[in-house]
Amino acid sequence: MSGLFELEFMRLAAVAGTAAALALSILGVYVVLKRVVFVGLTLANVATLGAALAALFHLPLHAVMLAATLAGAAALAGAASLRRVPAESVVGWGFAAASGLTVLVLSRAGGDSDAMRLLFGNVLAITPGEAALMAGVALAVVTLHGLLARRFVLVVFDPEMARAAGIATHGWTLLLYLTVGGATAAAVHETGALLSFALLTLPAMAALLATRGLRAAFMTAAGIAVTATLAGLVLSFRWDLPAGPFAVVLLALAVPVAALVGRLRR
Amino acid sequence: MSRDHSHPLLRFDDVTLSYGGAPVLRRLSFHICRGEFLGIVGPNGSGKTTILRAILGLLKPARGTIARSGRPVIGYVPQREHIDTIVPVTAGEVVMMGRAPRLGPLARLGRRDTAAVEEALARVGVGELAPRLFRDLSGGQQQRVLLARALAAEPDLLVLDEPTSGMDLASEHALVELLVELNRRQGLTVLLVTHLLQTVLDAATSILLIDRGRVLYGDAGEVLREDRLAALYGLSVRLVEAGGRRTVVVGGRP
Repeated sequence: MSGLFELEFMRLAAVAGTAAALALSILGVYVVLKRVVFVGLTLANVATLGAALAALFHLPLHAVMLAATLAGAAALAGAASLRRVPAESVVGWGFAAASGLTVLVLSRAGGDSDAMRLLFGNVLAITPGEAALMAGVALAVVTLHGLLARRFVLVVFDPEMARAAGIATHGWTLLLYLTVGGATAAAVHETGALLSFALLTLPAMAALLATRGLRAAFMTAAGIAVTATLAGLVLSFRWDLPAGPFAVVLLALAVPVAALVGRLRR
Repeated sequence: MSRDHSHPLLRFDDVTLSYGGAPVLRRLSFHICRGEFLGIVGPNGSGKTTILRAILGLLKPARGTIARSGRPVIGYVPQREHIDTIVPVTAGEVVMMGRAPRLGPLARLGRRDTAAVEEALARVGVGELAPRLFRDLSGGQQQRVLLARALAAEPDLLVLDEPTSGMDLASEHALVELLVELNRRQGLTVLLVTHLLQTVLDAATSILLIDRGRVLYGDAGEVLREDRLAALYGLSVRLVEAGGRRTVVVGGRP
């Protein structure tokens, strides 16, 4: 195992994968509890659309991805105030529009390999700069949500009471979506839309099934996400399988195992 | 505790409340004094929750003014249906949320916060429930925990929205008794929104009765009259004195 991480690309993949796993799994607990898992999927697709547009028009990749995702996050946070259609229908609209546009833009971009990588991800092709960026995003997410966890939990648990206490719940929801958007944009570029979505939803789901308290859920989600990502890297390398999808399968397996653990602990 | 009419905590002066430009309640005038137990009562859809939203500052008046004495801290007990019990928080963590009005987003919890939470849990008699998950509690226990959360804010005014909704008779009675004790013995100002006439008869010192956009406000004895209640609900309503207690008896069409 240690020999494996003497390879630079594996070290970089481990750093970026661990960082993406930490950031997305912590945010994922809120996303799952707020019943907005498809917000994560849609933001992953919006990030991919941003990357495709950057490839087509030769624009700075990270800046366009981030701008597109943050705009998408702000739009989805605002959708909660619509009265005539449920907010999730706007999420569905965003998902369909971003997916369709991405395919069209990529067809115009001529199958650029960097743009195509975004659809499926290649955690083994990460540069030191990209790994550092992902680590920075993870540090920011962990710090922000560590400091403000009490407020985020209140807004998710009882928004009516939070509003009565003078807390701007729409602002906090927007901040949550912006951090989800920012972390997703960074992770999509490093690991692909599929693994990013899986890291956002599956560890949180597994942790909530296996544990009983919120603090334990956050820590368990982070543990499952990091373990599955690193195990996916190592095992896929040994068995010559694609790393991202392998990690996704491990995360998916964690859910029924966690459900069983949760049932046994009751 | 006597009511201090000279310094109302909250005063509605000729207030009109609207949603999307359509007035729901017009020209409301009433006040809540320190030590008062005000019951807001009326049929479903009469506008009780609209008044409550205005009191909480969540709805601005289309006309008139809502004056507050200083910046009173409001302890709010929402309807349980508004709470998402999928979030795995303990009863103790729920009560700790009550400190939110007194803490900035980055503030750490101090000794005073912990003491206020412990005292609130004790006042409501749910200290032993603190480590249990909120979602695992019965409806009556959940309501008590939410009351403890409101008390943890050390409120000037306690506001409850249909707190007995979905509770069995024993839990409902225990909760109303507790509210009366908090008001009469501990001097807490209480505002209770309910559609249950008997509850306000038992507990409230003054009443705001909402009747098809009209509002009657005054002492409980003055406002709750058989003829008004019969007209309001379209039923025969009698108020029977028995054992020093007025009881609502409903039966047949008037």
